[in-house]
Amino acid sequence: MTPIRQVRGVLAASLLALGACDLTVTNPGPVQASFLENTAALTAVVNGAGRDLAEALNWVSYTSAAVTRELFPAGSTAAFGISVRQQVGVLAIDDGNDWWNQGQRARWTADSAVGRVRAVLGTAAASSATLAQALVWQGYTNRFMGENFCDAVINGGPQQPYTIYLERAEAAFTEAIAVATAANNATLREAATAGRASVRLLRNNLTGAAADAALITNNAYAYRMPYFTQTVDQYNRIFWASANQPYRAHTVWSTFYDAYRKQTRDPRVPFDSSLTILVGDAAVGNLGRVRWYFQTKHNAITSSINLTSGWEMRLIEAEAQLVAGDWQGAMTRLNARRVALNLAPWTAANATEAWTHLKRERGIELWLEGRRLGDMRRWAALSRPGPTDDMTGRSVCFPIPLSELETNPNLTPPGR
Amino acid sequence: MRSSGARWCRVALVGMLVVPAVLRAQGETGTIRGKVTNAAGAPVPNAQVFVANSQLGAAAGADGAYSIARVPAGNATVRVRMIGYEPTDRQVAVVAGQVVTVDFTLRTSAVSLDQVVVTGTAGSARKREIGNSIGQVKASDLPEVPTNVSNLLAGRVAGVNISGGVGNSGSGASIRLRGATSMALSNQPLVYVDGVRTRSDEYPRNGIFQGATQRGANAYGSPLNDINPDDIDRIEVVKGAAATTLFGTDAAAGVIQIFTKRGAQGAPKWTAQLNSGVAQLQQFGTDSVPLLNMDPFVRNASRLGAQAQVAGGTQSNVKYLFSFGADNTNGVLQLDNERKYNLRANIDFSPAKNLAFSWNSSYTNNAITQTPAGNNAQGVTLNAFRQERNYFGNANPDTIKQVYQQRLNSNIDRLLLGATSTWTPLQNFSSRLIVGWDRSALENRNVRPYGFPAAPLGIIQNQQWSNNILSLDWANNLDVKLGENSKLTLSAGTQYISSLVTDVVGYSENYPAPTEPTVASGSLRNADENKLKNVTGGAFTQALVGFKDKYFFTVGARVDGNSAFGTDFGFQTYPKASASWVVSDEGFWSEKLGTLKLRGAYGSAGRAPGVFAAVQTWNPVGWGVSPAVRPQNLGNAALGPERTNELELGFDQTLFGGRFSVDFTWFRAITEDALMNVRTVPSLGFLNNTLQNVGRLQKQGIEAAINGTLVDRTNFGLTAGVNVTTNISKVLSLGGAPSFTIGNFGWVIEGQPAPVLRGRLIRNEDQIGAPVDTAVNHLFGPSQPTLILAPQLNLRTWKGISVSLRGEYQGGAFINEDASFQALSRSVRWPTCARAYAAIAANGPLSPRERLTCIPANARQDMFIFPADFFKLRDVTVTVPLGKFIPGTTSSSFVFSAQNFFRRNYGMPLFDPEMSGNDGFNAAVRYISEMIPAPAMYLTSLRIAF
Repeated sequence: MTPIRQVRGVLAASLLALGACDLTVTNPGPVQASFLENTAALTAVVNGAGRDLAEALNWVSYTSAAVTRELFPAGSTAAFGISVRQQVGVLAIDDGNDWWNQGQRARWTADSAVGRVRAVLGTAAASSATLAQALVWQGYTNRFMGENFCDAVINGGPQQPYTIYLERAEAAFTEAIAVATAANNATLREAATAGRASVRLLRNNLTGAAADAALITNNAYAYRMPYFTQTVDQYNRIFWASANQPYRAHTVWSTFYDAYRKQTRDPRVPFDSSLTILVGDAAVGNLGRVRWYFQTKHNAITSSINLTSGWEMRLIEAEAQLVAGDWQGAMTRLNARRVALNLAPWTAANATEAWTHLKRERGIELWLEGRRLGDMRRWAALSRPGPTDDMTGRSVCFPIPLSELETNPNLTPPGR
Repeated sequence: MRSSGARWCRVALVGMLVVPAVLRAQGETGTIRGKVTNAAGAPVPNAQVFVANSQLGAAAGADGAYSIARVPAGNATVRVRMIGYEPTDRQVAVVAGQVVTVDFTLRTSAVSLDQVVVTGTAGSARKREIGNSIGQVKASDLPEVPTNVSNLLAGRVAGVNISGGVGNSGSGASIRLRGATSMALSNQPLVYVDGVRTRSDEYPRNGIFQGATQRGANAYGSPLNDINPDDIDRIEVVKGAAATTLFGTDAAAGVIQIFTKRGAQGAPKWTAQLNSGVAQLQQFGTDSVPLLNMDPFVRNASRLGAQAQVAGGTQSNVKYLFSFGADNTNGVLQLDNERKYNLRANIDFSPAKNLAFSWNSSYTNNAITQTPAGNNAQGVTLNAFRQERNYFGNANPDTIKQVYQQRLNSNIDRLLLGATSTWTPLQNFSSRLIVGWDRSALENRNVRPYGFPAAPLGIIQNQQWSNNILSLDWANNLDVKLGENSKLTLSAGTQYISSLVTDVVGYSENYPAPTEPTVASGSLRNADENKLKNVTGGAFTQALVGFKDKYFFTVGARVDGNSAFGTDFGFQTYPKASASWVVSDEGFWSEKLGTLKLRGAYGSAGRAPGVFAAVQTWNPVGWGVSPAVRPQNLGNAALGPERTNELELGFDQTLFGGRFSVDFTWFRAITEDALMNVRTVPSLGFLNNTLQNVGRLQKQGIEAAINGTLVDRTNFGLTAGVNVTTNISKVLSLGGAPSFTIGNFGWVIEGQPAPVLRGRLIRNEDQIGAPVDTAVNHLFGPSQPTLILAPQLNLRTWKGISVSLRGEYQGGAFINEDASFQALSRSVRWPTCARAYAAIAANGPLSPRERLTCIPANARQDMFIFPADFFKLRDVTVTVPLGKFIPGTTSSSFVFSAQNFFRRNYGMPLFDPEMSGNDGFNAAVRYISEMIPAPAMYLTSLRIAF
């Protein structure tokens, strides 16, 4: 073969080879949105909403516990710690975005799950337990946002009052009750009913709240957010942040519950101490190292957090009675739990004292469940009588952080 | 999933390697031999000596001697080429069966226009023909004892910035050519070794895949450092889009081409090296606390290594080079060690007159042991820095050393194979095919044993990661004579690159007993897997027209396709044009004015987004044991590649007979449709940043390499030089999008450097007693240096003993020093506050900075942004030639090299501004966390040739 022919041959072979080159690649891993548009995927979609709320609740329950003096900081300021400003009760726009980001993701995921279940199931959705579960997550997520955040922002929209979340929560619970009833699912119907009771309380609809609460007759009832061992993100954060190994970031020392527990042995606010490890894992402000009393309400990575309970319903009823002027009836109602636990009942001589005990009893009953911040703001706004733990100079809600302020075109970041 | 088409494509292209060819005829021959020396009479090792118009040649040995056998009888032209010297030809008459001696004395030329470089075309080109600047480093010109390729490049080429190194064993450094090109994608340049595309991005660190991911040393390795620096012949640095067009997709951040040594015809030449040394951590704290309390945890760390190489060529047109290297380097942290073996075999074979094969293969095994460090609650650095405020609540070194129980072992296996066939069926046509395979396989083993303080039942993770890159590069050159004075070189070719990254992680906690664990030992187990494949295919064509060997004009284009998840961006076209004019070859030019070439180039290069960037994806996260998905990537259906267009103008001039040279370049690069990780709106559910084509970025600057031979006498020579680099970046437009942060206080803001450091300025920071005056959201400046000055000096003295110095100043950049904030906000008594603590105790006044940082409750993270300006002495090296002092050797030399032993900061009170933080050296914006800087090294090397 002559060189010229060789060149031609190679060029032709090469063109043939090039024509066969295929640059198409399919990589495994992430799930494309379109893959979720089928019935079999809906469980994962709805579970995703639950998991997102679990993580958001995890973060807010812990940090808000420090701000509302349910816990005292004991060291770490990052990772599983309490930041320097949170240690003095300040929730700032530039001191981390995780609380807002995770809450908003949970809210969006629940909204998205409800929409997707409806779209995939069509008319069958109205009696589907899957939709009822999605609506329950939507309700609790919006309640969570309305209890803990200063303002509402929905899907990149403008700043609105936080009460928007509560409106959305009530609507979700109302629909959930209907769908769960149609699906003949008592668990979800009760979860939605109890959730709506708590939301109506937050919306100052005491009559409606009491009416819902009355439907939950079993005092031992609880609807719980589970936590798991599979990944660190699924651990109960309050437990893990004070599990000694690796952190001792908070303590019950120096809180109301420290002296109260020692005095009453109330099993609802348990904590313990170590004979060998006496102090938290780092210095706290000017106090240096502080005594480490670790809470044991959440005593394992997998400890669940109550989203609602029968005893909470009784306290809602008590608060409705107080507002209605029946402070004696309220005292009887809120002491029922104490009687059941063989604790000395609170005694009151007037409505103001009854309010004091109600506030304290809610604090004890809902301790470390991410509910205190909402109560503090609610009672302050309505000028309910009676002292609370000193919240002077402390935040009563999480503000919209920089992550939203700097990205949402409907908001104005500081300095712009 | 791989398509059958792609498989066929490879088979077909590989098949072309076995094209039949015509065997060359043999006749009667003689031998040419001699010695190559410089003007001072010193041997010039590795000079390439060859017979023109043939494939016969040899490399000069350490003593400058060469020998070329089997030269056909008759008149021949013998040529010598050596970078840094003028090319020299000699005519010789070869008599059959006889030996003819031809000695060469080479003249120094700092910038030779006939120096040969590789530019992405099929063949190499002379520098005079090229319109863009190309930095070149010749390994044999480097006096110091090389430690790794990153250190070898630092301060050597204008426009090249090496930084981000830390003091941990196995850590690498980032490379930026002309600063950062992309805000979102990797800015590591592409790395080719002997024409084979290799991995250039960092290796995964030995950390944990979930939760507290920083439980390790937090140092990242660089694949570049797997290459044995002693194997390298030269490195070419192609800096910007104007020059990298023909490299196609992903070449926008530049290209580094490494060429390894090859054998030359002649008897085997053996060389060996014995290296030893010690590393020592230098001050990075204050005078009173120089090592920030790390003193009990560091050591003077020894290094011992050996290299052996044999190169030669047989009578049957086979040339070979084999090398072996072994290196055992302890780190300054007490558990740190790096044990590295390198093997290389480079073989050249010409089975026929018109066909040449080259085979390059190297294998590296690197076993790295690390000490837990970095921003890591279970690391030695963080706990040592924070003393009694640490996670043990105890500053006792023995207590802190409990973290040593954690075992961090990485094992890297790197195999790099390249086969090149060059077929020259016609005198004016050549066709070259390179098939390359780069496999890097990494095992990261991370063990906290039973009884570990912060995990008493133990935790273990094993990561098996690999990256396989297959590359095919086919290029053809056709030379056409256009009349008496003109020539045309047409080039065309294709490339195919397929990269597959697989990553499998096994993790478990809670062993049943104090056992030597595997992942199966833990009762709580978890796993992770990622698999990413990316395929690029492209074709290029180029036409180079030369007129009178002094006017050159080149036009070319590259067309690329790139795979992406569910989306095909189609084929992208990147054009280029360049011109050069050798003014000094004009009749009007006086010889006294030396040589001068003017050049200009314009070209484009692109970057494709990541494989999952374009579509909306959900992350399968699970919830307990139930399936669950959560929003992951918002997706952007309109996503496309970013594109960098660059214009560069410059000149290369030599004066005084080549003793003084200037290589000057001005460049301006504009990136259109710049890809940025734009923060999403959290209330829209997707928390991860979304890749978007946003706006336009610009960077421009100058690069000048100025070198001069000040004295060149027999027993005394002095050369000096300086590389000057400026680089000013700017965000020209964000297309209406709001400003956004890319982390570590780096912001992308219209009209500002890309990115700019934004934080809190303490205006009157040092005015003791003054009220605090701060400005929030102050724009400090860029994250990349705007000025780099790299001076170097070489002194040759009596008996050829030489001393060389290399320094580097970088200025204009800012960096967030987070380690101080983390300590101060935790009430750690920090050395920068020594005066403040005394003042507080005495009720004396504080400065605003002291008030804001030394009182823990006042400390804010954004107050710790400092200028990253510094000067470093990269190395001071003394080389002592020993001649034949050692019996049985042809020559030897002894080298002492002190590296990285002097640094001065201008603005930042602690640490080394070149350091990186936990994010590693490829972070969009570097920051400093609880790390130690790269140590000083004092190295010796005995180099022997047999």
